[in-house]
Amino acid sequence: MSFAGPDIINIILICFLITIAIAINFMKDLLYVVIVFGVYGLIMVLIWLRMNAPDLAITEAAAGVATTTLMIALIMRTTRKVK
Amino acid sequence: MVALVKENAPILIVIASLFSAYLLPVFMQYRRYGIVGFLALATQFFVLFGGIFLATQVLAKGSFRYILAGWEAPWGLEITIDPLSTLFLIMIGLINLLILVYALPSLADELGNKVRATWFLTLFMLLTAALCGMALCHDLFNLYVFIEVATISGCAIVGAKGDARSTEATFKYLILATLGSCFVLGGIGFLYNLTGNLNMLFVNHELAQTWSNYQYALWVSLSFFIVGFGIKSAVFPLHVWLPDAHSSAITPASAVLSAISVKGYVLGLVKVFYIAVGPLIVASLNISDILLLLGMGSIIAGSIFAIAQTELKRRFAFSTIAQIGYIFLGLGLNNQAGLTGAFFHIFSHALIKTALFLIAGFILIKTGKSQIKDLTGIGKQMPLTMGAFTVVSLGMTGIPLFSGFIGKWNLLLGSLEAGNWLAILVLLAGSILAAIYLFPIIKQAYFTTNQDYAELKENTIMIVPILILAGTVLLLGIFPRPVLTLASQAASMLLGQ
Amino acid sequence: MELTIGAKLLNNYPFLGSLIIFGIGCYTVLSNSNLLKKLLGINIMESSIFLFYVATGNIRGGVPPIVDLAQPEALYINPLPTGLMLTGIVVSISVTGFALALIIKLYRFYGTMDANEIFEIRNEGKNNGSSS
Repeated sequence: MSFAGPDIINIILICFLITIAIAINFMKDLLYVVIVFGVYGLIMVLIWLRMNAPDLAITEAAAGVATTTLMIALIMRTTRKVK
Repeated sequence: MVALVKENAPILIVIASLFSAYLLPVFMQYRRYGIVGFLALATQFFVLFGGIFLATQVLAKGSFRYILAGWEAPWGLEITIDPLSTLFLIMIGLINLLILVYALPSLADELGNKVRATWFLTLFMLLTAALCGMALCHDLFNLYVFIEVATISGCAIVGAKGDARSTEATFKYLILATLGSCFVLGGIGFLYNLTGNLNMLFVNHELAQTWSNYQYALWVSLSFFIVGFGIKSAVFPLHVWLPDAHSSAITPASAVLSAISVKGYVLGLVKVFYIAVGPLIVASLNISDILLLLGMGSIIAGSIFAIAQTELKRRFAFSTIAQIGYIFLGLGLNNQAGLTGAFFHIFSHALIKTALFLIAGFILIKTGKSQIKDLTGIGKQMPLTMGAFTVVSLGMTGIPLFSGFIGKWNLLLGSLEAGNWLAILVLLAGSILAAIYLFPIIKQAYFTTNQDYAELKENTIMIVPILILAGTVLLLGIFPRPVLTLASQAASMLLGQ
Repeated sequence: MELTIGAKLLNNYPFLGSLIIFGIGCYTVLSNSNLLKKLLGINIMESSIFLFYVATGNIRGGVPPIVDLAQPEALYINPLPTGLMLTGIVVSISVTGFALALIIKLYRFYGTMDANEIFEIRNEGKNNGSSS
């Protein structure tokens, strides 16, 4: 078996994921956190596409990114209004 | 028709509870609340009788498999019917039936209106379906799906009351339980990665041949399972969510969560460790010792925390942690007597803890008192209730002639067989601590007098399940044969003898 | 050929990455007091496990398991883990929705989304209740 070497683009994408996860841990402003979480989901979609899972990519884009981010954004609007 | 039901009874048990969960809101739309209650009771009857029917079959001709939709094992899904799962089905059916008989008259008052009560029953049925599924499933991912259904419906049941305290407890429970299911999913991922199979039997065959090559990966996987199931079944260091959730929920919810739901996750752990991985591998990777330590810590810490509590339901909630410790200790002993004791203890603790929570709820409804120090002289006001309380307290401490004794006796035999003197000490200390946190309540109830003495009426239908439970505790202590047979057969099946 | 540890880790980079993200997500859940951030931490943990599963089924140089008659020799990846993770994504969405509903409810009760502040408010209420 020859050592083909790992996929460089995937490694870069996973490094992005790690960075964003750390950033979500330390960021203070919740609006930025939500936006960055949307970016996290989009990078996840790219990884699914590169890992030959297009069905997961569609689901993640529709459910994981769009719905979750929208739901959280709506929650934040409600909570700010009450304040 | 009857033959069809008999043939497909295993899957029908899950489907019936799932189906009735979604039928209840339909009847609610047309204001047929009588039908709602009847349907809920009928479903639990079906689960109970299905469990007894399957148990007779298993005892007659040994455990068997039911293949879903005619697809054979590597491609399709399987359901196993073995002594362990039938024991669980009988337990779920019996306890849920009694809880429903208790709850139906008072549920609408407790939750505000009948619509909310119906939604509560819907969640209750979903929880039943998920727990039955966990008892029957023979596939790791199936197990995860049922765990997730049980988690979400269990959380929603805690928050059904809708006040600030229970909502907060629900959120805490939801976050920690989801953390636990993440760990479980990760553990399943490791096992799938190692073996390429999700069916427990196939995983077992693969691991039996190759496990020595992947010791570290297997160890990581099993520790993931311990953390995940440990959070969900609330063993000592991971128990933080349980007291809040179980004491702030309404009475039927805390009874079903404390008596059955917590043990469903223990059953998941047993299935993964003993059916999928196998007792030999678990013992040689020293995972059994970790279970043993968790169990001993739970018994001691849960009991000591329980002594410190001043609220009745909170004390019972901490006592659940201690009793889960006994089950983990039995699993950690990893021999015939220990496992038999653990499974018998699962059944007897379900009876005892349901009775305790129902009694606490009944006292709360009748007198409005939830603090232990206010319960002076309650034994003369409510003789039947406190009589039942005395019986189940004696059962909890493990005095002979009560059901708690049989389980603890087997656990003691298992510890002697394993030569583990620390475990014996902890078992004895656990019994003494249980007496310390339960008997003062009895003493206060009977031997102190109350100024505002008034005869309280107990002759409602709500007292019936409490008396049945207390009676069963006594009966099971004198004639333990049927349950003990199932438990010991389950133990010998898991140990491969 | 015996590979060094570094080469082994580099070869299995998706598993390494997913476990690192799992740890970060777990830390986010346990260390942040903000309820919304706890929820995002749960989401991060779940997606890292999805990455683990999908990497299990993936083959480098494979194609998605959609039958293409023009390429009879194509190397299909294992579709089972992706199928399982569809369930996983749906479960994580439902948990997120439920938790967000609870967060709104808690906000109406306490006026904050911070676990520590909720704890303080509740303790003050308890003390006032016992003294009065």
